Amino acid sequence: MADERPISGPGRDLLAAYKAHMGPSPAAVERIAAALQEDSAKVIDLRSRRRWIVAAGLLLAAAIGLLALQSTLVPRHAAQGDAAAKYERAPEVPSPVQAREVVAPAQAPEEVPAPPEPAPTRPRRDAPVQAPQGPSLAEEMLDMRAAQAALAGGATAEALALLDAYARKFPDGRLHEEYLALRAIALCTGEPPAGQAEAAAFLAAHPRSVFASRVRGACEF
Amino acid sequence: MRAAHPPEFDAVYRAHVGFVWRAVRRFGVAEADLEDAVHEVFLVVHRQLAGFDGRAAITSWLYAIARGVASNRRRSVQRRERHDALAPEPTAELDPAERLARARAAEVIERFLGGLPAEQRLIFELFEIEGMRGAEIAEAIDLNVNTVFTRLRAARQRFSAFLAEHHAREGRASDG
Repeated sequence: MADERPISGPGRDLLAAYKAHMGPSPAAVERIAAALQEDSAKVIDLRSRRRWIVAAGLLLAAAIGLLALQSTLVPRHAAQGDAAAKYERAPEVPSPVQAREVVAPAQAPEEVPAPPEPAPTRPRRDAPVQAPQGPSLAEEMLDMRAAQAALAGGATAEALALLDAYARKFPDGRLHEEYLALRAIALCTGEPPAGQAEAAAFLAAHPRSVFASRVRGACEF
Repeated sequence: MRAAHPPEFDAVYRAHVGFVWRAVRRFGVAEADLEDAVHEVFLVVHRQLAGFDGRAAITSWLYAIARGVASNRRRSVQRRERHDALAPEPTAELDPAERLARARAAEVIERFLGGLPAEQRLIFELFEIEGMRGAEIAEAIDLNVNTVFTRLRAARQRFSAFLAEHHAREGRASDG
């Protein structure tokens, strides 16, 4: 189609100059890239802390399980009579779902004790990441991503719980629009009648949102 | 339908940072606030990229995010006013002659764009300067694609006439 070809000739050079003039300087491009990298590092750091929390939870669970196993195995040799029943009780290791509750977003990462043993040997960055003063966007992103992941995995109830936790933790959150959209989608996925009202309210409040089409799709608007 | 592999964030940033910069500028973000606004747009991109389903062109998607960020920023006028006190950064990377040539060319185009109706201007800019396709523009600004091309044709005709006049004036200036 002729219309899809851009203008050529002398006008093109002027347009190219205008484009460059109105764009960012190379220094600005690099500054923003560096800032984004820093933000990304914060998120990764929070994620790795959560991974440690999960690991700690699993480690504790395994230790408890082992102790329980030992305590049942010893009497098994001593008294064969009730050994089988005790052995059945032994593996009280929390399920992955239980372990995941350790990292519920309502829990501030700073409040969770560090993993007991072994201490992480992974090299740390030169400047340790400080706990942000007040809620940071990175923290909000992390919680919202957890809800998104739960939703994508079909765990609607968990997604809703995470979204509720997000709303409690960040009452003036910067991702409020995303929260409303995901909540509407989650409700529509789980309970269509409840979600319809949420979706209608969201679409009325944010008709041009980038999430509008997803909300419409999920709630069959 | 979800794209098989969402694009890499760094590639998206490098390819489209200029587009986003100009987009937030078009949406009225102040010069001194552009860097913060672009940063904010790409923070949103960073957290949503994995969910980018590829149904829309990435430029349309970025444009929508830029519009949202710019709109939020307009609401926080006080913060922007504080930033406005800062002088915009000079483009020190260019030599003075090149900077001047670029500024003059930009002035010519700015003069042309300033004479266009708002919608024609936007469509012309997105198509001829940003390289978006007709369907992408239609999606980004929520307009029928035929209307996009009608507006684009009208703007192009004006551009041809403007250029002819501009070159004639330049010729007269150099002769005189």
